[in-house]
Amino acid sequence: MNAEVGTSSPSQRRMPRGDFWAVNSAATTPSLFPSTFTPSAEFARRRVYPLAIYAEERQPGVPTQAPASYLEGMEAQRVGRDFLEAFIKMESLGVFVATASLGEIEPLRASAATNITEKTKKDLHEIKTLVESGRVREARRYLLGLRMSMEVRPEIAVWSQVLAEPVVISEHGATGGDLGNNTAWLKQHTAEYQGCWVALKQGVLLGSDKNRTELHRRLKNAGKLSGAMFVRIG
Amino acid sequence: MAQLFFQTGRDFVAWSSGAARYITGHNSGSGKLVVAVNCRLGNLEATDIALCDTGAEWSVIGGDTAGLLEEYFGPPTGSLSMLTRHGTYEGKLRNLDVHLLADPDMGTDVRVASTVLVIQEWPGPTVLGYRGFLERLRFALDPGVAPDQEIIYFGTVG
Repeated sequence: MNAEVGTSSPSQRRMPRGDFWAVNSAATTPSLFPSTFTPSAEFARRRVYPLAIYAEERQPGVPTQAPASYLEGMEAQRVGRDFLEAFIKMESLGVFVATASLGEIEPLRASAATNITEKTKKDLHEIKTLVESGRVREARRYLLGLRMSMEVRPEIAVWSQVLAEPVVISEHGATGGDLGNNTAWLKQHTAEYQGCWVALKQGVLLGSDKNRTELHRRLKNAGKLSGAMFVRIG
Repeated sequence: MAQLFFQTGRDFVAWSSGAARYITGHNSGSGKLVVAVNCRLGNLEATDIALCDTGAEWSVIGGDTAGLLEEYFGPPTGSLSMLTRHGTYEGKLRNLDVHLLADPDMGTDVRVASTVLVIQEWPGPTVLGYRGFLERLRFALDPGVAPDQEIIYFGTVG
């Protein structure tokens, strides 16, 4: 059975604003949700997205049966991802949706969930490959394409964050220390601290250690961490 | 306060907002830091000397330093295999604020909401690379007329 929109009687076509209904296309099965149920947009996405994918799979390239009048001016003759947007917007308009019967919903959802996982895996692999080969701009374009098609899942969102161009902001003060004196100290004492981390402040050695974490902990406990500059010496 | 300015006709527009001394040729053990700058990683109280490298694809933080920054990192990506000057390493990209620090009386710091590659086994120094850091930062190096007069100017774009 294909996902359909608005194939039942006129009395069923209009629900109170905010209601979202899913009934079978023959209008013989009770709705999946009670008439008083008002789903959130997130709920609608999670419920409807699998159905949109289902529609895409079952009717690739074939327009849905949604009459334009039910879509309130939206483009009705579209399938696939656009179908999802149509569902969500219809929900806000209070238009009911006729789709698969109760018995078909769970397999549908499972199938769609598998499809989403597979698609996400493919996307992640593509992004990773692009980044590993230094094609960061292409990876950014790829992610932009996913955002445009509403396919951003949490695993993908992390990539969107780390591949975003950096943002540079001027701060209100200068917090750099006395690099000149610290540099002078480094030139004079490099030979004595080979293989160590040193912490300097105003040209004075605060401490040294082969382990940076240990040096950090020691200075913190001594209240000397603020303003210290850490350098590793070869 | 020394800053750089654009000249457009008779008008001058600030080109940089901060400046600082930089270090050249420091031996960090795993190689020479040709140009090294003073920066604050995350919100650590202490500052770090990092290699400023336009030839590096990503900024890199490793080992003990990465461990201290755990609370300041954003969520990690999956593991990546990255070719570096020290060989191929597995790492993860993470968001991190990095501050370039202005010297006293030389303007103001800049904060870069950046992305760094975290490599636990990284044998090299902290690197500030192009992607995720330098690519949106305006900066210029002035080698000075004598040793120890090197200045890096930095600011926002536009």
